Amino acid sequence: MTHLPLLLARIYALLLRLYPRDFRDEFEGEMKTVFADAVEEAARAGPLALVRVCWRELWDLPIHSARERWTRLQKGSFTMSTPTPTQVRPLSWPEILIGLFPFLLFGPVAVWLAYPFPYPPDSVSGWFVRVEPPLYLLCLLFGLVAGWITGWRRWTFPYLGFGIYLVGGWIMSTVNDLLWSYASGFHGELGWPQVILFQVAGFALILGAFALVLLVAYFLTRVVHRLRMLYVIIRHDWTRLSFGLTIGAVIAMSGSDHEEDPVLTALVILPSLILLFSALSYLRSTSRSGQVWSLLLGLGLAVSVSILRHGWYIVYAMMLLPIIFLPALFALRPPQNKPMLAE
Amino acid sequence: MTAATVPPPLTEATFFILLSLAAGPTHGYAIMKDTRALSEGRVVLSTGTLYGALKRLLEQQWIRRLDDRGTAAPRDRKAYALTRQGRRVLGAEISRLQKLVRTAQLQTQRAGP
Repeated sequence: MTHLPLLLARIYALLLRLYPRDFRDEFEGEMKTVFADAVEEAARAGPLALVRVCWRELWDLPIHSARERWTRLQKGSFTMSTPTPTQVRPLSWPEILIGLFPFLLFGPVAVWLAYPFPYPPDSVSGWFVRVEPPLYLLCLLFGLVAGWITGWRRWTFPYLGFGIYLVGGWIMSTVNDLLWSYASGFHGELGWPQVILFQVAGFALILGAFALVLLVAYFLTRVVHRLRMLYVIIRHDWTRLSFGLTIGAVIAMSGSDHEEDPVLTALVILPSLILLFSALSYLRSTSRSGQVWSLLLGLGLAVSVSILRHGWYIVYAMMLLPIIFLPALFALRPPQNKPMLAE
Repeated sequence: MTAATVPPPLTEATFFILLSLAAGPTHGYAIMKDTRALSEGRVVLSTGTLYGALKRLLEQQWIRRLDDRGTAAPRDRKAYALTRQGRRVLGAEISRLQKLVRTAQLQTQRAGP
């Protein structure tokens, strides 16, 4: 095959990824061959014929791939066949990069632009602070849509984790505001009994709110098929949810004070870099033990570096480690040693 | 095939794919070329259209994929063949089209020159 048809065939092979996975598994090889044959024949007929073939294929491909995906959504069918280990493969680099993007954005990028060395001009930091909220929202929406369409692949879980932290953060700040507005109605200083009462009430309200959100989420998984799929996937492979929740560690450890000291800034950026590489290791791993060790070591190292910066991070470690590894409780149910999910 | 089991009219793409396979088992690219030839260039299938249609025809069991074990066929050139049901469906469609043509001819004859 000459250069141009070969290049076109490669582009076509890439675009075939728009089709659902099961369709590609069944027909990808044949479609590549047929396209290559069509392009070769058209190339022999002349440039106009080649343009016609390419136009026809490029016009039809997104339409048909969208139709196939829509058919699956309507049928609501998917197979959670138990894969053999040979079906497990490392993720492709585009998938890995998309999965790493939240770790990069909420970690080194946010730290560098907010508490930076070599300290970009205020205009850059100011610009980033302005675009942060819509950027984070776009990031979250992208992840949720991508997860919905792809069937909750491993690389979509950081976006899901970010969504969980957003909801959690909103609940906690709302409860906090409620309590403060109630407390501000008291004249004079609050005594210890009132302070303890408020703390207990606050804790109870937060727990209650989380429980309510979990109940609603559980109900939705019974009603909405795609969410049911998410629930089944998490029960089968708890490391995915843990991986998603690790984004909270990135956000928590990405700096909260800054003194324009390069050493301090390095200690602020280093945990997020450690977690970024831990995420890369998780996404590249094809074994359950590799995935677990990636998460544990990454979190352990990041927390240790943060504690060097400030002892307060021991409290973060005590909070983050149980939250992130709570999904491991799913693994306590038999049967143990379930095979890995195919991607 | 009873009136209750007569399938709805086929799309042109489906009709020509089945027609192409009526001559014997063939693979994807040959189906595309046959379709273009049989329709005198009017129906040109893209790869997406072809394999979307093949998938539905396989699900409906109007065609089957031939097992190429022991053949010299390359892995990515799977051959397809009509099933008995597929032949019946194609036959029913041809009958329907013939009936349409007869009705149209009778009606135009009544209208006169």
